[in-house]
Amino acid sequence: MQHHKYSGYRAVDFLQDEDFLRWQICQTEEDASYWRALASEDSVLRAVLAEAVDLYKESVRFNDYRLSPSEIDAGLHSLHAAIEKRSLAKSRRSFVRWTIAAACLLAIAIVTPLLLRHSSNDADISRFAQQLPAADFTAQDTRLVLGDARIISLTSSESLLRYRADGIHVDDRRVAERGASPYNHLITPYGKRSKIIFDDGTEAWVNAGSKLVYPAQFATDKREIYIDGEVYLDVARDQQRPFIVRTSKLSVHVLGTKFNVSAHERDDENTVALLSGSVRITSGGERNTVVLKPDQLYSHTEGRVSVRQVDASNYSLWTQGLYHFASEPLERILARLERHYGIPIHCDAGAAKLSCSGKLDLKDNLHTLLSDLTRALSVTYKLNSDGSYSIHQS
Amino acid sequence: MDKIVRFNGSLIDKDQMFARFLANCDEAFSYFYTIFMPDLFAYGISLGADEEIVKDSIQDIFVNIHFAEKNFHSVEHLKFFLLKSLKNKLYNIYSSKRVRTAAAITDDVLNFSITTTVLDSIIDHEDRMAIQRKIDYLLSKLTSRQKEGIYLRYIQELEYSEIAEILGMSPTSARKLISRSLKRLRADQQLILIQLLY
Repeated sequence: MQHHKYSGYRAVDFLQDEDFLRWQICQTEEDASYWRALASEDSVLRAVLAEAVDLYKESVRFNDYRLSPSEIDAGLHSLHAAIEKRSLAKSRRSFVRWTIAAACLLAIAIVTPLLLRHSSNDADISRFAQQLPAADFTAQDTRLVLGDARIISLTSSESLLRYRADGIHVDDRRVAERGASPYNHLITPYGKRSKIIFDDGTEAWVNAGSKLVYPAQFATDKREIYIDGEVYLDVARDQQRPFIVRTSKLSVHVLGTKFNVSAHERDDENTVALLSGSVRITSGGERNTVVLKPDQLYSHTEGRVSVRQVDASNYSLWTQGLYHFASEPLERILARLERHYGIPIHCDAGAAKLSCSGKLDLKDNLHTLLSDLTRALSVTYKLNSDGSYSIHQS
Repeated sequence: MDKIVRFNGSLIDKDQMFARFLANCDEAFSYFYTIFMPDLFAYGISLGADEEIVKDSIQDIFVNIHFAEKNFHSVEHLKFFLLKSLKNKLYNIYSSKRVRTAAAITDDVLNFSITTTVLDSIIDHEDRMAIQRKIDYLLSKLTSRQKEGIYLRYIQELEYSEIAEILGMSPTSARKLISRSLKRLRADQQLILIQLLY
């Protein structure tokens, strides 16, 4: 071994020596004993060598692609948000196509070429609504976004908005003028509900996890709103101006009537339940128009349309804080409870398909409701450490 | 790995944290994210992937872990799992990209590289440059696969069986890969003394 080649070496010189570098990178026994032997023979060398090792450890890095603590922190936040989102989506995705479970269906396809000029998506309001950024339904407060982008936060759990000539009133307080620019939108997060009374007297109850887009003032030839979510409407009679509800897939034309539209973007199935009056429903781009009579339920799932007889009042009871259901799969009931309370509820595959009938009072707390539900079925529920619930078949 | 480490100013028992992690404790989950994210990020970039894609992939992996059964038998096993998952994910992303951009079939989907940094706190500029050139020269004797093998063994401290899984070979081949790399780093010493070119 030519150890004399190292005499006169400073620590820094060792860092340019291939043998030294290989030893430091790979730490093989062979290299280690070589250097140990050298160091034991020469104390000066030993000292410089030790210094060189420290220097190497201090200074040399491989693939040193570092992230700052704030980047890691930001990553952690983003991770938690993604987990939250998946949590909610998971319970909703285990949702089966419930048209399969339903007993007798009347499939109706009435072709009326006249009215199919525009698909639901072609309406101006639909276009506007769909280019809005995705609504955050996990936020704390209900938010009213005015045409000029001003945002008004509504903190009560059930806000009441009235559109009057002298402006917009929230919970009996005037908050803004009606404004000129076309659309306002109201985002009602999970766990909250809202009600809007439009200037024509139409009343709209907006359920949790819904986005409603509408003009500050209805046009002279029609009254049009867009929803992603669930709304129960009591439409004021106006022969001159038809009332139209647009969703991403449906158009519901109304003449003066009471009906419930359930059309969450995230749901496979959209429904319209008619309590009184008459509605005509078109699904975008398809040659399908259905006219509903009272106590009929229209259901649209992935392009398939069906109509059946129901007690339509069951579909609007949520506006009174009640929930009646007949032979509904548990996962659907849980999805509704999840939106109402704003608390994620996970459900295993076995429990999800269980068919249930019953009544729940949504003014009770979720714990009580789950306890009632699970007593009736063969399932158990538990509260998780992050505040969510899990349901298992027992 | 040290058993007891400092984290955010307090002492943490890693094994205890791991037990809590297995029990789905949120704080422990966040802890391991913070601990492993930098290594994962570095590995992803070394493979030649885009920063944003690496970050998104890491996030996806952790989201999946959160919802799955945690079948890890040790902290080291968890680390290995993370590295392997990241490579697989990046490989899938980049091989589909490859089809779209119609790159030459002989290109590898991911190419591992090692970049050397010599920190500037103690050593002066000229020496630093010389050291960096020397190390780069040394490493240039290795193929991309050998570099990855060395990196996983000596910098990420994985077992041969784990390296084998990540590189897609048998544990014996992994051992051979590393020993061949060492030979390469050792070879031609005489020649080098004569032919120093840099």
